[in-house]
Amino acid sequence: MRRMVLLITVACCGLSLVFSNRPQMVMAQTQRSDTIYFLGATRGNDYNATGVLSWCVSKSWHPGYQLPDRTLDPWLSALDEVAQVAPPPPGDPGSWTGTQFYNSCHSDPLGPSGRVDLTTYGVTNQSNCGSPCNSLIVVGSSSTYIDRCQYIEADLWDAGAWDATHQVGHWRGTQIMTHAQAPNATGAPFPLSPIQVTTTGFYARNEIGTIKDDSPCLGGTGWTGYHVHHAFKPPVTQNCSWARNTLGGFVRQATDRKKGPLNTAHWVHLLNHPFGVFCDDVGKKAADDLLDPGTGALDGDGNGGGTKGLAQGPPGYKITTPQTCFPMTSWCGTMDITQPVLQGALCYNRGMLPIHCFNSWQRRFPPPGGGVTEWHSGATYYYQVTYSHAWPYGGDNFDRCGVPVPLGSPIYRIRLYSSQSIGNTCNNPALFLDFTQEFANNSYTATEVQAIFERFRGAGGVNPSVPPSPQDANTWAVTQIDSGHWWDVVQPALDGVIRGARDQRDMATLGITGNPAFDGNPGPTTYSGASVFDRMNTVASRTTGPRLISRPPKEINSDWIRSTRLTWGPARKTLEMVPN
Amino acid sequence: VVVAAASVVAIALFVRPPFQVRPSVTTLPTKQQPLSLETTNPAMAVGQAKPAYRGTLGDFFVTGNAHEGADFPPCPRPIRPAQNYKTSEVYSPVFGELEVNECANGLIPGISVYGRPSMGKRLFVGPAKVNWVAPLDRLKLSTVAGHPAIAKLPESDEPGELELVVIQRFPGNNKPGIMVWIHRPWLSLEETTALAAKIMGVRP
Repeated sequence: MRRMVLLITVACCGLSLVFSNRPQMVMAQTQRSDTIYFLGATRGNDYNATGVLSWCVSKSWHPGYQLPDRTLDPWLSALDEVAQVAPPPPGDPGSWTGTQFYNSCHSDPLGPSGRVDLTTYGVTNQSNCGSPCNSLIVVGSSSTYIDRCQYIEADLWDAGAWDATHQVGHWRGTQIMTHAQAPNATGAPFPLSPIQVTTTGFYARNEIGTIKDDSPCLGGTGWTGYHVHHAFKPPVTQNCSWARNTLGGFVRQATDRKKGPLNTAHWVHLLNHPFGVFCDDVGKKAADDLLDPGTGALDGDGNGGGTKGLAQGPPGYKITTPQTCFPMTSWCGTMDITQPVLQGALCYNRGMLPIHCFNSWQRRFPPPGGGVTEWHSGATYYYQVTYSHAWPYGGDNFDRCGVPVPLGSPIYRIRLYSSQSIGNTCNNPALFLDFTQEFANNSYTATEVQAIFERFRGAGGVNPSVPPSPQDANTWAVTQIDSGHWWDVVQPALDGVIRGARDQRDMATLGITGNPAFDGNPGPTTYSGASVFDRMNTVASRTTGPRLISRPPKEINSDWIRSTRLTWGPARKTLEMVPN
Repeated sequence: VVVAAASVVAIALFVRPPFQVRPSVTTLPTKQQPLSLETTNPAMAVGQAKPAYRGTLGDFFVTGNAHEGADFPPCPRPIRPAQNYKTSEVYSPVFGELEVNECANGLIPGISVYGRPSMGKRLFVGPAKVNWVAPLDRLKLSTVAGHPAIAKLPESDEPGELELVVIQRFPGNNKPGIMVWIHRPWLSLEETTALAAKIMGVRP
């Protein structure tokens, strides 16, 4: 049965590609791979008038943070950095008194040497990045902990998967700079300049703050003088990798560490990441684990007992797996599995590709700079979203749904073919769309794109904007398992949809969360407890204004109940869903 | 159909909504303004428009100033690496292995770990000052295993901004107070409360 489904899918997709006149996403032959070198966080100082900034190590590699299992940073990722103000004294590093070292190396909180920079050198294998290409989106935050230690943190996000509307994507690590403050030190996140790469290497230095007198830190025991404590919290490894510079140049009291376009050998941390791809193959790894016939939590006893238990559990029921490790990755932990995975399986069973289940429920937007995100695609009907530009106007702007549009908001274009006329979205004739819409020059806010999608319908009038109801999914799973269809119906559907999860956001949509998070860092899409739909609207309302659609769940679910069997689409190109 | 379409076009032309459909490449303003926090994340801007609360709240004093926190007891110099920090009353096994400094008299004013989440236990004298910058409606008093606690709730439903402080012991009888804190744990309030209880070594 599984082979048959596979054959049909392959045949249909092939035919679809042949006959479709719509633009298709074409994968690059070579995966883009970016390498970012993070240089000293202290500004340094051009003490010898060579045009190159120099800095010193006041404390060699030491623990920078704590891991989820409560062990201390095993990679000793932290370095204490100060500016260099004079040639080093005679002798070797490590042999000098504190005063001798200070006379050559110290940072002035009131001068340029007291500045804190995010200094990077970025290289890519992409030949069309002769001009700088964005590689990482950077979100900063700065404040003071309750222990009175001051900090700046810079969260790094993959620019190839950054959903600017929902402010979420693939986390690529965090640069931590303690005993320093940014101008905005309220703790609220703020945007910093993206980190860029070129084919031949791109050097950039962005000032993000200044060092501070941190003597109150830990009652005086947490700070021994002006410096930057520079650490790196890394992402999970498999497709991503990272390193600290172990060339021996960062011993205690090391001097003449350099920062400059031609002086990049003294990098502190390194990150290599595949542009637009999650740091590990989380869907495949989780599917292998959860559906293992012997030990998988969703299988349980070889006949889907775990899944049946999930379907019959009370509201909020979850299965927590034993401690496990994903092979060939750095991720080890437990997983919580909740009911939405059954909604995902039913979506898959109804013939949808996982990517469309995920994109449509998440309202996933393409990253600034390019790409098409399909929220629905059948043989005939489709809904595609592309990024257009950032809203260039300040002042009091409102979109056609009445939601504020601040300066810089992402603006999109949509291309669609609906089986029913869209009509006046938000009851606004200025937002009238009929059955089709080409990209053209029309542009839409994120709120408008989402509101229009609510009115979009696929083959047979199906509404792809809402998941199957939990009740439908539970009933389907239990009925199929009880009638002996675990192996040929439910298990393949679960396998298909979990294996199709591209990243942590998709896993969260399936109600599967990792502890620790699958990306190595707790993030906004990882927490459990919120259903797929609740989460989606929460995020949307946080970033784009109030909820536009407040239909009761019963009504939302009814759109899905009627479409449960597969048939050939109108153009006989692929399978589509039709009402019973 | 033609009449209907013409009507729609006419309405679209003559009733100019506040936000117009505009070509994407021909509407750049002559003077491009830099992006600001308010423009890139409206939710942040809304949250920050409310004034930060400063004042007493239960057993706490919320300062509304990131740099004004509870005072530590005096710490005589020189500072030195602590040898037996695991016997300190500000240590918890939750913290694991650490590098900790102590004052010349052996006092360890606080122990912190930074990461997932950042958290710690520290001594304090005087008022239980909390250095949060948040409006009153995001501050919530509670108890953790009978100890007074205050939480800074996330904006909207953003779990990353949650913070929690618990007073494990009030200052008195020549002993400083003890405060337990958890910063941006990416956990629910219930889970964060349970973690605070674990740090104190008690049942939630």
